[in-house]
Amino acid sequence: MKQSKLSEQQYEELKMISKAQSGDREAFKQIILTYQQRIYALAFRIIGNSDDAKDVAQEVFIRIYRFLPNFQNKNRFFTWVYRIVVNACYDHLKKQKRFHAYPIEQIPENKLPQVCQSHTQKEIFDQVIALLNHLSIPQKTAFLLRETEGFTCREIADIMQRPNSTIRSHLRNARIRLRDLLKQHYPEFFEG
Amino acid sequence: MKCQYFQKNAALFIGGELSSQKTKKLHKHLDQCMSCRKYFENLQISKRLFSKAIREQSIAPLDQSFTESVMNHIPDKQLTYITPRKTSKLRLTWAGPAAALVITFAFFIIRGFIMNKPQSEDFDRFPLVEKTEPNITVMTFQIDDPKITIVWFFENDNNNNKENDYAM
Repeated sequence: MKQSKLSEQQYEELKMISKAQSGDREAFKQIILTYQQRIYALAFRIIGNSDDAKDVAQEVFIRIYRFLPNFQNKNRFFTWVYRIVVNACYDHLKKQKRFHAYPIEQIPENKLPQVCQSHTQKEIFDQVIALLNHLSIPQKTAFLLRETEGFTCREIADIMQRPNSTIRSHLRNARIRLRDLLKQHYPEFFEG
Repeated sequence: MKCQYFQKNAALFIGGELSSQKTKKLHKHLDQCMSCRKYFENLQISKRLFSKAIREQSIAPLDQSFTESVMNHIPDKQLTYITPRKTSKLRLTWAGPAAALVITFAFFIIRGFIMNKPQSEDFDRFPLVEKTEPNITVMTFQIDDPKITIVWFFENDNNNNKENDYAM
């Protein structure tokens, strides 16, 4: 039952892509509506700024429209879209010269999460998410694609255009680094 | 299994990114080793916390104005297929053999000059003097191997003998 529903969705999506490829603006609008929130969310998580993420999301859709006639492997549309998102985010970060996260020693004190008992869960989560900025951009991207979208290593490798082994290495290093950071700043989570 | 091996693979183990065979091995080790179990639990705590924090991160939804803004930025004209640049690959394919050919030719030409350097007596042996015009004398020297021809044009001026040298 679930299988047939998924196939129907895919079929509708394929129809929409074909229409958009032949220049149907309404079909392209539907593509935007389908993907805009996911694209924006990923861009926001990678870049960490709402306005910049909106600009990147807009740039992504312009690129999709421009290169849509070249897109052929219709079964992998989402991978192709995410590849454009990741590349657009990298381009944006390169422009801003924030491509590499600075090492923990060099981070100003006010940027480090402050442990406080009175903090609400949301505040703690925000501070935990801030720790992601200590990862390198490829590590962070691979980690986010895995955790938020649930992509497999192979799919992430396809999106980031890197070998599968590199992605596995990014994921492993990211998890170890995050565990160390969390232990350093929130030792109470590991007690007991 | 050594603990070092377990700890090397544990970060992928919690994400389910290992093969079933490796996963079985690690599970087996996990049941036996207390220190590795602690290591694994810490990684698990960290992973769960980050996953939850990311899931619960509030990201404001984009409104209709964003869609309209994108639609305003895309061109009205019909989309066209952008032909991939295939020629560059072709050029690269031929660049190597072409360069090798040029280098080979250059090598043989230079080698020929070095091996058969013309001596001064070669020029003296074959001086050919021709007189084509009343006021111009043409003098030609030829060497066979390598083939070099030097042609001198002498302008015969009654008042001042001017020489123009041309070498071919």
